[in-house]
Amino acid sequence: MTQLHDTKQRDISEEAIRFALFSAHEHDVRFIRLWFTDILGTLKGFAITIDELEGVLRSGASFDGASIEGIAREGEADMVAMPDPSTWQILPWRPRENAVARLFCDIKTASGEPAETDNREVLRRALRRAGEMGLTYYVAPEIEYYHLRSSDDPRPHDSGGYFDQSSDSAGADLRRQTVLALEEMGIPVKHSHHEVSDGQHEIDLRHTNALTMADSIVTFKVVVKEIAAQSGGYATFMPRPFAKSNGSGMHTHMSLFDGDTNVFYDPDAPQSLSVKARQFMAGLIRHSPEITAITNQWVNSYKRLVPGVEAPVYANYTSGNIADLVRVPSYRVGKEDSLRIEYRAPDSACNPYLAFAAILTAGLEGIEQEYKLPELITSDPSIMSEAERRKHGVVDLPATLDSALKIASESKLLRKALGTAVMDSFIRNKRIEWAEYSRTVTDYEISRYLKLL
Amino acid sequence: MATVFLIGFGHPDSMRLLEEMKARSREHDFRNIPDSPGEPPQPGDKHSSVALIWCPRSVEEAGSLIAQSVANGLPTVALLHDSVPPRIDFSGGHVELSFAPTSSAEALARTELVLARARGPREGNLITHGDLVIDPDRYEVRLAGRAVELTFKEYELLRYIAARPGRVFSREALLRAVWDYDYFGGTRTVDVHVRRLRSKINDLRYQFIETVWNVGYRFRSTGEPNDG
Repeated sequence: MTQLHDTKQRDISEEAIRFALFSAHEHDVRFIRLWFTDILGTLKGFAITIDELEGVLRSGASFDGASIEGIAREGEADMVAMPDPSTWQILPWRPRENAVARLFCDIKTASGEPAETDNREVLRRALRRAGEMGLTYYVAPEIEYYHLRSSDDPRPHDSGGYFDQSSDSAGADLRRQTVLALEEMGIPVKHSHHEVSDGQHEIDLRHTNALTMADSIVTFKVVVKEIAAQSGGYATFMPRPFAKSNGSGMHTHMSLFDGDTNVFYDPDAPQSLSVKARQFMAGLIRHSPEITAITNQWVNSYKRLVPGVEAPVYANYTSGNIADLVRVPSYRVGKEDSLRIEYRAPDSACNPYLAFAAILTAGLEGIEQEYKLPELITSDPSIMSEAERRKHGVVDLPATLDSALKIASESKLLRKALGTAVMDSFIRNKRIEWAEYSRTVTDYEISRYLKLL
Repeated sequence: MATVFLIGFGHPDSMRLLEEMKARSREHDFRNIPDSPGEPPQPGDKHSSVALIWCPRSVEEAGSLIAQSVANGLPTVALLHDSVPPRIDFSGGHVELSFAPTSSAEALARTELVLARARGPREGNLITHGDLVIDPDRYEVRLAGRAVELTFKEYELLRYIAARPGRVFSREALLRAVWDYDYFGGTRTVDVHVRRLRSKINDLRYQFIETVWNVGYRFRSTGEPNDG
């Protein structure tokens, strides 16, 4: 006759559904946005009313997937968006009356199978692979972006510099509001600061499992843009919006844990880097050219991956350079759990689901195949001569989307990471983008050639 | 709203009591069962029925009547006519005793009491530790009267650990209990949620969730001041 609730006896997903229903009622929620992403990581979705909520939580909502980039395969237009009830969240920037909530969705086929093309499913497959090796993959991104005056007047919103803390800075105020909204959305922020360039900011998220983090990054972008819009401004995650300023990267810290144990940490090894840590780094470095199309997916991404703007250019193990591809951040003695690897190629405009899946698969390949970490290069390869670089075996990261796609399309590793449906659809989409770009006559060409030639 | 069955053997005083109770309370449905000695009604929902027994003078007879009512799972109010209560074990059920003369006010009050006990009163579901109140029926958490906004996982973790104060849980155990269908969490996910929970529910006096080094976490019941 005990009325005490016990988790063991109650299905957690049923609890999550009831939690969402109670919360909806309590907060007067009228509309619920069902969120998912297309193959490029762009947020998509549609709204349902409160009357539909319980039914949709239990059996999903049908939609026509044909018009969403990379979602539906041929003859598969009818898709089902199946909400993940544990992602229930009221949108804090919407009015409190008639509130609006969001739910992340898995994409299923009409027959209820996970869609091969669902970003979350792609990442889950990679995480399952880690899980089979007894490993959990944690990530913590540092996301950079620009606040602009408006989309019509895309000049930087402020003129602060790196770590500026001036109290009258409009940028600091926006950043504070953004961090508060993120916290309200259940996204823990570790650290935030003004970045190097005018109007450029960085917010670092606290590590969590990669799937939750990918959802969080999608939410993050919405929050940043909403908060900017509220003050009449605009925020952009474009990889390199200004030729004269740094690009916006998404340096990603990562670690692998076996239960409570950080498998990257070995107190007896040099730098405390375990054999697995070295193999994982080796996998990342060796396969980095193949996954660059995913971590840097836009024509514009390659305007960031150039020498001189603190972005990586070479696929090697270098140290002490601001442009290192892979870095082992220092950690405090006694905080061995925070020993981690930082991968610095991704930009803020990547699709985080596919990027994490590709990065993890590259690292795991290193562990499975027992790769050897290349010899550490202590001098800066960008000031070496071509011959010296060759001597040190320095490999270039792809310098354009076109060359990234060429390498990616032949990569068995990437195909394994993404699955054939996503791989083919992604390459097709990006080839079109490159073709369009190739036909474009740029300002650079006009200013350089028009009068000269 | 409950149904109150009076088992009064047609005794005029019992009928009068029932009428007075009816006049006092519109809350319940009062029914007289005049001729069912030894056979209390079989209620559909035991939590919303009460047997009000006008007991015979014989202590033995009264005892067996009450015992039968309890055995049938009915909350029971026994109106006794002797200063000696029947010697039976009531521990398996919910029984209120009253000695004659019983006023209608007292009979009603005892009816409410026994009903509330049988229902497992609302407060029985609440998990309360000092200023922190968790209502699992409404998925609500309050700290010093103010609603605390939690995500589902934060709520589940708090509810689970707060219902078992003093016990030490490993991260792994919490992960299994709260994230059991989620394959990808990993035990550090627990740390992230504990950190967020602490920032939301710690008041100045108490730290509710305590880290037990190299083991996991423990929910501290109140009375242990915040030392960190």
